[in-house]
Amino acid sequence: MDDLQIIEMLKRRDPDAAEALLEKYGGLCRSIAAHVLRDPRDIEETVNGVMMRLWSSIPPAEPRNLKAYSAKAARNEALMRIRRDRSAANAAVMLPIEELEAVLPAPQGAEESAEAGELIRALNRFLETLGSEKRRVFLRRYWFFDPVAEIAENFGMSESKVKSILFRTRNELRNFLVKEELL
Amino acid sequence: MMSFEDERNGRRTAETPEAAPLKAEALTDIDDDLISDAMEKIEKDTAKRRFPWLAAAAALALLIAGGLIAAKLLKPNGMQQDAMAETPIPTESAMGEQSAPPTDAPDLPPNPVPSYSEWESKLPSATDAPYGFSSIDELAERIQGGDEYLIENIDRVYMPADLPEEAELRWLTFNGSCTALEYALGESGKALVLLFKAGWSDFDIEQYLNADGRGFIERNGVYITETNAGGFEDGMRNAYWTREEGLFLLRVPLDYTADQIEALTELDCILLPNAYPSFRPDQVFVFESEEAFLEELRTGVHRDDELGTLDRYYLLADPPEDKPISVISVEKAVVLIDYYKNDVDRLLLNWHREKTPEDLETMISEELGRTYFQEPPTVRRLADNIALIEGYNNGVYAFFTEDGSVFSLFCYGYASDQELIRYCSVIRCELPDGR
Repeated sequence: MDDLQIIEMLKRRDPDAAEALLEKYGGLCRSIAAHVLRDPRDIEETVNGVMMRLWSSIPPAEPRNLKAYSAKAARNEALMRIRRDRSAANAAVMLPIEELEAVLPAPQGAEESAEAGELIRALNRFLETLGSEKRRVFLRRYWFFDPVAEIAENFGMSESKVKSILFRTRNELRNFLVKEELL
Repeated sequence: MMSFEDERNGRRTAETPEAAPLKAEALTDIDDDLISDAMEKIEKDTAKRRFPWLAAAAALALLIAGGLIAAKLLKPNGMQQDAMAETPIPTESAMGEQSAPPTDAPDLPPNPVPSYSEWESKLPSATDAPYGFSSIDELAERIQGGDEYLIENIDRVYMPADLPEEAELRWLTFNGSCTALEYALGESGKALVLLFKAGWSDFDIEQYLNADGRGFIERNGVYITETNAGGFEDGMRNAYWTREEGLFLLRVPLDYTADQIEALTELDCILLPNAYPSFRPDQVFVFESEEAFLEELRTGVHRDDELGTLDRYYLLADPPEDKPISVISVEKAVVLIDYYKNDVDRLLLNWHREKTPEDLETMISEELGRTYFQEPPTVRRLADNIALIEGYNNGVYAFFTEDGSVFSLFCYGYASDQELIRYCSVIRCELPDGR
């Protein structure tokens, strides 16, 4: 079933939409959650939470890219879970999270949503300046939280090269955000 | 459409108290296309892995490329091959336990690194290489003479901090981004060679070691081969390591132990005349003392109109007692006073003639936008009129305002906050009447 059909079903509030979503993107969401969370029960709860959020947010939302929208929901749900309880985190995810701590500004509250939007736009601009391989490696590590070994295998690189790319890109990001006066 | 960021913020407001958001959450709402692109890459590569011969062919191509790179980088001219052949090969126990290779190298045909003599014949000699020098001073002089290629491409030289007593620099070459120094070791005919390849990484070390195909050990990030790379019987052993600025390769006689080699990986950095703060030699007027500076102004015979525009200058109000003025340099935008010219123990006071205190923030931003070797620097306010940029690999850069002017002070090595506050103050010196 294609994404438009699923979205149409969601808009009609068709109960089969949830099943279609789970079938198509449940695996993706589970994979993202599994990189972040330790306990299989937390992972399953996260996937269920994502499906619930997609059900409740579409409509009014009408994502043009349901796959990315689902992935974002999964990442967000999983991170919120470890925000509430650090012990829920998969130990391996803490390293990329800590690495990001050093290069990103503190998240903005609702009252500063304009600044938060500015940060997102800056991040998009920064990512677009990167070469495609560098950008993908960066996102696989810091967006999807893939282990370095997995990235190395998927991109046909050595682990040290992946680490080197990540180190340099983090530094570039920090410099970029300083220049943009966001850090 | 409500973004997850909006939703998250709304939720945080509604459900407080809650732990602070993770900074990593800021990335969640990046553009959908970028996320899709990163997902598609993995899906395509997963498909590729179904054809393992493709990966094997790629690995072979990579290895061949690595071998060629190794052949290009290593420049062993000047080695005393015969003498090296007589040096004993150290035992396994002397080298320590052998590490596993950093990657699982597949079984591959013999590497394509050319023979030693083939290699050597293609390399420029130390004396006739376009960028071959017998000393670092000679290199510095070439830069001061205005060699644009050098000015653009090299601004510092690394050398082992603790060289053997008998070591004497025989030659230094610079080619592209690679610097090589060879030290003769007394009358023994043996030599040390240190190469620095800017911007190269651990990945390149792996290529060297794979191309080598021989045993090596790893000590604190330093990879030391048991014998020379590529099967050359020149009695040398290589050590590879990286720092943020690039890859270092040290070639030593085979009888050097791993401990000796590791000790040689501590490096000093010598800044060349074009290192920041940089001036083009033809734009700078240099005086070796305050007296010489004033004398030239008094004579009224100026080498350039620029000097005639000076109506004042500034000195440190309270300079360190052990650092007298050694050089005053004048160029269009900056008057620089060098307190005690020594590459590791030095203060550089810049009076930015064309800047005003309103320019301070911009100047700091521009400075932060430059390329640095170590971690990106950070800015710290030391006082209302003093901002420090910290994180240079060889010192602290302070910017300060006084007397309606902007100054910067580069302090090599360590300086406490109290010292910096003391140094970041100037006295104004009016030029004598009638000059």
